[in-house]
Amino acid sequence: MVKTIESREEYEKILSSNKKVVIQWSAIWCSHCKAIAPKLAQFDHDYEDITFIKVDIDDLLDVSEEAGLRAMPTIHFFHNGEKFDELVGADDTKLLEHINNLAAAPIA
Amino acid sequence: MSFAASSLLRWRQSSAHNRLSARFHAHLPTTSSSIAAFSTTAPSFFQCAAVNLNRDSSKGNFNSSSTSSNPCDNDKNKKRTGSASALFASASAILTSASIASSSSSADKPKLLSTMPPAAATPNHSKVVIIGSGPAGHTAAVYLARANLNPVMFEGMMANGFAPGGQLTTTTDVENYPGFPEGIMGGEMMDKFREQSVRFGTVIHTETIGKVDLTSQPFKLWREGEENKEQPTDTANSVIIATGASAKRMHLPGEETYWQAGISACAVCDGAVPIFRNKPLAVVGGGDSAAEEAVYLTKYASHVYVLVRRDKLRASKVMAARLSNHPKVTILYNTIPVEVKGDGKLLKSIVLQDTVTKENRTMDANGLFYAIGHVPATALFKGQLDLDEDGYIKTVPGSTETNIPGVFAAGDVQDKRYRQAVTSAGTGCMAALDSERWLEEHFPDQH
Repeated sequence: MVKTIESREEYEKILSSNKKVVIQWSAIWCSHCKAIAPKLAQFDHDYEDITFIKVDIDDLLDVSEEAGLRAMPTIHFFHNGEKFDELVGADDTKLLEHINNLAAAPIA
Repeated sequence: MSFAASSLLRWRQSSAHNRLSARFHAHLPTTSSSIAAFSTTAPSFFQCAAVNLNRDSSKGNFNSSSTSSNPCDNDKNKKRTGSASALFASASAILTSASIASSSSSADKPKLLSTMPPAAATPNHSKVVIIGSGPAGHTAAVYLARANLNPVMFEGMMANGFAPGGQLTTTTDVENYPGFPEGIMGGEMMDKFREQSVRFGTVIHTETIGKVDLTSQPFKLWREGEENKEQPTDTANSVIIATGASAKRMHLPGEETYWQAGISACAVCDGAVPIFRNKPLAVVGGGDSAAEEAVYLTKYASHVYVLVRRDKLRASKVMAARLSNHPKVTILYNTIPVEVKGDGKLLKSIVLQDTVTKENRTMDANGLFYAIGHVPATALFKGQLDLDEDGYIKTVPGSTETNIPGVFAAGDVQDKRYRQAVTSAGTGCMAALDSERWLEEHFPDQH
């Protein structure tokens, strides 16, 4: 399964040390988050150059506040430390599109 | 090969893996004799595959991370899904070469195997298919599985906007389902239902059915994404429809802009996001769901306003009392929302109307949550099954029979009157028994 981030330090470290990061903002009560999790786990396995992480918004409140979340699940796509794309809602077709866009982005 | 293309190829390979494995699931019951034939050549192999299949179907076709004792754990070199995929791929290769007699030298390279055209160009056939994964669907599954009818369930991939498990996955405490004196979380409860279905051998696909043809035998089903194909992806002699209902929205002026940006139909899903923290929120509705969601939201909101159309709540006495006594809740009777406004990005206020005086006033709110009931999920069946004027499937009173012999309906999709988890479970059981008896009569050789 996708790695869950436990602290702000970990979160910032992952963003700064990986070129391509996909972040799932999740919550225990969020059934849609649970529904999309297997797809993310599969992509985590398939796309070796993208780092996948999960953040529980109740556990890391300050970090999630800064993320500007409107609804759950929200998935952020980071490229070279900057937010590249965003997906709100558990749409697996759109998720694949976004992931392929990130995969196609240059590593530089 | 460019980097992007290789990433895409890896995706295609593994999603083809999953399609292969899904077909393998479906084939397993009906081709058990061919598996037995090969068991002499690779006994531990198939034991392995069978165990992995069961585990994987309980985890929605993905990663099997269990480390309990089983013959598969002998190979230490496997990496997560690598092992399961390789097993499926190789197992599928053996079945494929048996049934199609196509020689494939790629059998020793699991990754390449998945670029073969899917082994089953013919639809997966089952005696009975269940569409839906709420209490009705799972109860039907348990009964049918225990009757050795090898039911296949399509639990849906965000079907009707619900995670597998249905409406209960969007509730927190369920306190009125018998058997849980401490109450149980809706999501947890559906996990247990699912576990039970799987325990008795139900094959579950985390996919949505996009199209059906129930006009002749065998019934034909198309998985979402494949509706334009002439051949259905699946067929069945009997179908149980347990697709439930989806949340009603009001589609107010401004709603398109602020949907999922302040407006939601699932308080439990979205309530915890930071934009709602310590802010005034509104819940529309007067029943138990509305009451429950309102109480739930008090954990996050500065205040919760419940907008009730009539002059009293429909909710049970217990929930109504909980609501009225809550210091963070204000119930606004005879009130409906008529418009939503914001800054273009997020909801900021709601225009309310008094249903008696027809006067409008504006209220600051950062969230609006619908809890106004549901619409039965029957779009798929229009023109084939008899529906009532509200879209519910018509069943013969006292049974789950629809106008099509062999097709049965259970749960909220056919119940306008009670719509409870336990009544849905009840009709799920009835549908299983109806289906079993019907199959005995019309397809006796399949037993």
